[in-house]
Amino acid sequence: MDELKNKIIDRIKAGEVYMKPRWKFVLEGVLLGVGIVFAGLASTYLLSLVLFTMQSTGLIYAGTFGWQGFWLLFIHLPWLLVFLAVVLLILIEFMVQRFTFAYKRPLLFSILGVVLMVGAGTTLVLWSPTHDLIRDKSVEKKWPVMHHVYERGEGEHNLYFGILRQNDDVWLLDMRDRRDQIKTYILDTEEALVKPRFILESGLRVMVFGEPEDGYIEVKGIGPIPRNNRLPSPPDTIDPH
Amino acid sequence: MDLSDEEIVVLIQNGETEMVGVLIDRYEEKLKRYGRRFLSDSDDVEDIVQEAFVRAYTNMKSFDANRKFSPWLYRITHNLLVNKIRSKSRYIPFNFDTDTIWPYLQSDNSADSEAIQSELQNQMSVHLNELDTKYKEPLILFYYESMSYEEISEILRIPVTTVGVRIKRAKDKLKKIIS
Repeated sequence: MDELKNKIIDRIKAGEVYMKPRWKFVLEGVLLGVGIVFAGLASTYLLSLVLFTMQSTGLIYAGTFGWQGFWLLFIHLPWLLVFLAVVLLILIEFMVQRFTFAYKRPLLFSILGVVLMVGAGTTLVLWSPTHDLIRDKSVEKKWPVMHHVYERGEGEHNLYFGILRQNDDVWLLDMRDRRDQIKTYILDTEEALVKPRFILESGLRVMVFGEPEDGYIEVKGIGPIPRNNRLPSPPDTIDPH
Repeated sequence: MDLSDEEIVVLIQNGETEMVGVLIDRYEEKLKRYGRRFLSDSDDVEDIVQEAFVRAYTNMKSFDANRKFSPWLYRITHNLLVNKIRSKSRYIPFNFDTDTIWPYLQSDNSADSEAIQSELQNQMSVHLNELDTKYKEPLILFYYESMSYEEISEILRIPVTTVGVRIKRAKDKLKKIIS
C-alpha cells in the first residue's frame, strides 16, 4: 500500500511533480471573468445592432402586415448577426457553468440569468443613442464593414415610410431618405390591405408595404407609423407641382 | 493524526510536502474502490488513482481550504475515469442530459432506513453494472462513499436537485431489475 505513496513522494522530491503557483489559478479566474464580460458586451452589441437595423429600416414593423409581413421579417433578418450573438450567449453559459453557483443549480436558472443580463444590456444600448452615433460616424467616415451594416437604404425590404398625399384620385407617398433626398411614389392601393379603423388622409405619416416599379408602389399593406421610431423623418410639405 | 483533510492541505500549500502521504493514506483505498466500480482492469485503476493524486498535488494551490477536500479529490478522479472510459469505448456518449435543465423538488438526503440501505447496497452490488453510468455514479457516491447530495453535485457538476432525481430513478430501475 505504501508503494503508491512512496512513488508519488519520490516524484515530488525529484521535482518531477510540482505545485502550480497560485497566480496561475488567479490568472485563469481573471481570464474567465474577462471572457464572460467581453462575450457579454459583444452579444449585447450584436443583439442591439440587430434590433437597431430592424428599427431604422422599419423591418421591425413588418409583422403588422400579416403573414406576408412576417415572411418579409424572416427573410430579411440579419441572420449572421443573430447567429453570432447566439453563439456568444452559449459561450457565456459554458463559462458561467464553471462557477459553483451555476452548476449546483438547474441549467435553466443560469440560462435565464445570462439572457436577462444580456437582454437588459441590449435594452439599455438600444435606448441610448449609441448606435445612432456609430452609424453617423461609420457612414460619414466609410468605416469598412461597419458602414455597410449600418447604411441601409429606404425600401430595401419593400417597406416605405413617408407622408400620404392625395392628388385627384391618386395617392402619393412623399418620403425622405437618409441622404436627405426627397422622393415621391405613386401608390397603387387597389389590392392594399388597409389596417382596420385606418382611413387614408392627406398629411398622414404612414408605412407602406409593397413592390416598387417605375415610381409606382403596388401596395400590399398600409398603416400608421408608430411613435418613437428610428426612421428618417418625412418631409414636412411637398409642393404638389 | 487529528488534522482534518483541509488543514493538511493548508500545510501542503505552505510547503510541507511530506503531508501528501497522509492524504494518500486516507484516500488511496477509497479511490481504488471507487475506480473499480467503473473499470475492471486493476492496472488502469491503479494508474488513475496515482494520476489523481499527482493532479491534486499539482493543483493544490487552487483548492480553497474553506471547502471540503474529498469532493474535490473525487472530482479529479471522476474526470480521469470518464476520460479512460471514453478512450476505451468507440462510442463517445454526449455528455448532456435534460434532467439538469429543470428545477426539481429536492427529496430527502437520507430517506431510507439503515436496514433498507444495507439491503439495497447488497442488491446493488449485484446489479450495479446493469445501470447507465449517469445513474450508477450518484448511487455509488451516495451509498458506498457516503457522500451528501451537495458533495455529489460538486463531483459530478450537476445540480443538487438532479442528484436526488437520479438517485431516486436509479433505485426505481434497480427495483425493476430485481423484480
